[in-house]
Amino acid sequence: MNADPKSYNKPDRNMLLESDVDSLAQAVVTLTQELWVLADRQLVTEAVLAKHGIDLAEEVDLHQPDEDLQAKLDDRSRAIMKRVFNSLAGISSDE
Amino acid sequence: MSEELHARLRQRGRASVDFLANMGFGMSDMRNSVEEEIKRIVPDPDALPDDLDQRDARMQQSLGASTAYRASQAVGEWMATHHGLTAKHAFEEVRDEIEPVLKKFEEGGSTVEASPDMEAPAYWDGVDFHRTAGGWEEHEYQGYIHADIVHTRLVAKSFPGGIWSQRLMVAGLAPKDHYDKIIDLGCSTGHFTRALQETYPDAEITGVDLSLKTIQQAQRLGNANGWSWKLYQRPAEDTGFEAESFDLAGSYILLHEIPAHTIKQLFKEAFRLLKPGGDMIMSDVTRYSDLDKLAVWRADAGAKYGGEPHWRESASLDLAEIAREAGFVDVTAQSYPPFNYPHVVQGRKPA
Repeated sequence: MNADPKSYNKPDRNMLLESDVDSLAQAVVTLTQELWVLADRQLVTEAVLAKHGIDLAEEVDLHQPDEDLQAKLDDRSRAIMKRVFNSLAGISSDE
Repeated sequence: MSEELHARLRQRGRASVDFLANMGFGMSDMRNSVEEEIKRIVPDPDALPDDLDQRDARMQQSLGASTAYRASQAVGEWMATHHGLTAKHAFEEVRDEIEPVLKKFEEGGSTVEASPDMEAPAYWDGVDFHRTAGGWEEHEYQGYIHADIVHTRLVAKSFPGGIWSQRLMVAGLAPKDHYDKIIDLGCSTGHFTRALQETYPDAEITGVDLSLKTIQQAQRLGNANGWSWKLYQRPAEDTGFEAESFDLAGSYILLHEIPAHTIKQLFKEAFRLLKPGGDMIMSDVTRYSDLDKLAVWRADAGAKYGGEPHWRESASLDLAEIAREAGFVDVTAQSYPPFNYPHVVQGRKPA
């Protein structure tokens, strides 16, 4: 048996180096931009709907996406991740 | 999973879980870049060191120069440490709605016998398998959280071959059309137990597992479907049941979670539990002997960082040989394409 199986709970792992800090900063800024675009859209949407007397927050919280919306959500999330991860990995991206 | 047991996650939890489910796709460019680097540094897998630790050191040293590799490791570490937390937070958002359903299905024909005084074996106690935050027993509903959120909404979305269809396929490989009494060794939340019950609808099924939280979820699954499973918190390698009590003894992806000497005990226990002429079917991860050196390194590194302390020694075993040593006859072992997964060992106790 492995001498200490609990050592697998938090294994030592080589990850980013000091030289990766610049790429990491690029990725963080990219992510911040994406977050802001979404936050802006959400606030604007709620404000526009409030003008029409609709309280969106609870309905959004409970909404279960249908197949079409889920596919759209999946596509968008993957695209966002690619932008961030590719920035982190130093890979150029057209998206 | 019964539809009533399937939680309607709220937006934050649902989107957070979906994010994790899509990470493999989001990492595709990064992974492709790493693969290109691997092709460059390993033109011939056979030239890699035989020793697995030396092989990993060689790969880590070579790939350490790749920004994409380092980044993939960092993102992978985030996934390893956050999947359990994300699932738990998503559950807590809907706890008030789903808890009455969970309580309801703790009543019925499926029962759980806990063993509060059980001395947990060292290979299991305190180990955060799959790097699950806090381990299997940390949360009151850890079994549910993993069955409904981690397995159904994360793993099943992208697991090669499909986690449900693979279990059904394996359950159907047992040679007889009917079994009166079946034992699922290491039944966890009941995914394979379900496949066995659906394949042999009239069978009386017993399940054992070290984790109380997971068999409590198996109980809910059984009751939600009107099945009467007898579930026990006991080690699969030492169940304490009477000899010659079962017609079929099976397990599905338990073996890589236990060390080699326990696997040998498990096969002996299965042999003891079976009636003469009874059948054994055990399935587990791809054998290292079915992979080239590079693929073994991938699996081994995945285990190292994925909370799998026993994977290496388990995947290195010849399970057919162990089955024969336990007394089984007509032993067969087969790895299923296209991923050599699952690896299925079958045998029969002589009549």
